Amino acid sequence: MTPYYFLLPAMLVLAVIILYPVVSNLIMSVYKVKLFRGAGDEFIGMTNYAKLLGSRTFVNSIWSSVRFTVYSLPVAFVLGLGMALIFNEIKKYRPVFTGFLLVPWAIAPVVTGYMWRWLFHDTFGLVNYALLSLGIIDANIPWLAQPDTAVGAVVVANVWRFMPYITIMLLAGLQGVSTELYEAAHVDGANIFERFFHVTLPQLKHVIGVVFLFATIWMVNDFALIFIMTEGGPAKATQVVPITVYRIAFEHLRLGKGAAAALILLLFLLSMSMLFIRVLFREQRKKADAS
Amino acid sequence: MSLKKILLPLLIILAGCGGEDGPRPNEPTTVVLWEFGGVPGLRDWVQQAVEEFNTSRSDIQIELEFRDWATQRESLISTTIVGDGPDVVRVHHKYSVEFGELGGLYPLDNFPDFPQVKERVLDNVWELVEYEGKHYGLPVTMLPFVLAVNTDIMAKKGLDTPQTWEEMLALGPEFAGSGVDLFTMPGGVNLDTAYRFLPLLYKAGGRVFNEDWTKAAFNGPAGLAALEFLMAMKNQGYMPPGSAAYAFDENAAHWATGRAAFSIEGPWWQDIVHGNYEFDLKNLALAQVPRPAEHIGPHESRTLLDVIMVSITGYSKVPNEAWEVIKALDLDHEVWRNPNPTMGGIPTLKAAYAEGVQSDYINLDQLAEAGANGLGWPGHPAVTQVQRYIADAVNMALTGTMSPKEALDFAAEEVNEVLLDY
Repeated sequence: MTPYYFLLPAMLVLAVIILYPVVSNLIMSVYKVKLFRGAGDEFIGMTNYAKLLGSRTFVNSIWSSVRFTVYSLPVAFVLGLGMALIFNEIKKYRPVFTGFLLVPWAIAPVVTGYMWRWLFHDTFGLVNYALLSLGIIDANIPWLAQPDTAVGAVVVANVWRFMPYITIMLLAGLQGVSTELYEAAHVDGANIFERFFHVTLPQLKHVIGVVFLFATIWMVNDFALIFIMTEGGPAKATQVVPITVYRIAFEHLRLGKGAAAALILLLFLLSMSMLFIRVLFREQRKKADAS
Repeated sequence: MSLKKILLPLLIILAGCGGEDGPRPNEPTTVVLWEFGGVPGLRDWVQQAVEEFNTSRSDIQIELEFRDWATQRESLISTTIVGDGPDVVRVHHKYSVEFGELGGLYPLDNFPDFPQVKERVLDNVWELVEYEGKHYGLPVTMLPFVLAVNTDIMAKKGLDTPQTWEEMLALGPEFAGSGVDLFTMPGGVNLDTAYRFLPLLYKAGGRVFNEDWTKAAFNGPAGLAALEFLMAMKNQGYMPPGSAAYAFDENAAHWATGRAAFSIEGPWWQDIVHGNYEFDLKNLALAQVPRPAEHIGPHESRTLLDVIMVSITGYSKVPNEAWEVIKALDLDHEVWRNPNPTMGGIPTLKAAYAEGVQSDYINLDQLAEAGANGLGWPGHPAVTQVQRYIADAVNMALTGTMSPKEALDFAAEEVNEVLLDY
């Protein structure tokens, strides 16, 4: 039993900072919460969940979250991987370049949101100015005022922000790949693409899994960037689940319903995380079972 | 070390922490003021007025904190829940009902000299800070919504300011392809959007709710006509294509840089466009918001009016001292006797409209006329939620995602569900 006693302090901290809020949230989600003057909360069972799942706005916001993540993640990953491969070849001044690379990741999401909001502004934005100057468009595009282009704009901003994180993670993974593997592949006559697909990618498998897991959780949970850029508009095209939760809980002051919405989001993320982890550690488990 | 040796100092420290917050004898009472000012001129004045107050009084000291205008509601919610925060707040009048009902604000009627104070302020603004017979704030400035006109653009085109929607639409072809828009508005999913729709709704004779506030009424004929009017301007290219994403600042930037002739604004506009965008004020005129040529009804034509009030929080431990501060700063101070464009709104004091009063306001007569005909948002506890649904409806229509009727009906359904809770 002794090892478990050593775990106790950590478990206590986790219970206070994770378990307690989650359980409170769960309880709140089955009540109609009245905030002020000690008014008693009213138990309403699963009504909040039923209302949410029957709400067009909430269901649309789930799709908006999925769309935002599915569009952003692959693009950010491909660009991040490309950058990581380039950085891996740079031997001199790598820390300096890495420092610069981290700037978008280090900037607060609110600042990033404002920056991109004005970059995509129809009249004063640099994006339209550049496209007009290059002759690619002949009139300003209202990027953030049309549902399709607004989704594209927030995805671009998100990719810009996330790419450095993905690059750094993959770069760390690349530096752990043994050079002997590349030398052996070279001796066997593998060309650069074969070395990439048969040595680099399999060696990065676990890092890629972790990157996808974390990036998915962060992107699905993203609030500040989208809220600042579009406030969830136009026509709710970018109203992702966290913005809906914010609106329900803090604008409409329906804390019970907001708690239910947040729990649905949590369940979605938890099930996805478990799926990722199962896939990631399947091989290790197989090996362990075999031995 | 024994347990007693550890616990005793801790208990002494904790006992020290548990003392009353009130002032000790001979120490001044501190009144915490959260200033959600909004415009730079008001901030400067408050800073100076507080310094003067603190110098002149030994019994009360004001602790001033500036807060962002957009964070009023969140601040009031959080401080009301925990029952701790500022003693005095300068906020939008709509919170008098929402937070008056919830116990977050202190009824001024409790002060014996309140009737005398009430007498000094214009009669029509008191209803905006009233809930169930109690008044939860001192109305300090009025913000009637008017049409901001770029007279330079109009003069160059040889055009007159329109009085009706039809006249306004008729001006559109003069602007087509000129690089200047006829009209601009914040049309994004923010409350400013609802604030541009409501003046048109009120002008057409519509209202937000039905008579007994049990159902939405903004989707009636007047609301539909108002939204179709906006859609006509959007579809015919008389509005900037990006306006469906604009918030207040972007709209202000568009208008103030000479890219649009009209915008629905208020008394803050003069200071904002000059202060933030160096707009030449000789090119600014204010006029009444246009109405439909034929009245739609069912109510009389009115003008949207907002009021900024100063309130005492419901949990303040020093309401009497807070009342002293409010009277000194927001009632007796000479600044409120002269309508001053840097203060963000026109004063509510009767003395400000006495004969011989000088003012730097452009078209103060237009503002005063709009104010006299003013009608606020309904004083309903869920008004912010209602504003959100209206803003969403306008945005849905402007982006072409729904027709004006579909968008308004959808919003009305949501509002009706909210109203069931009250």
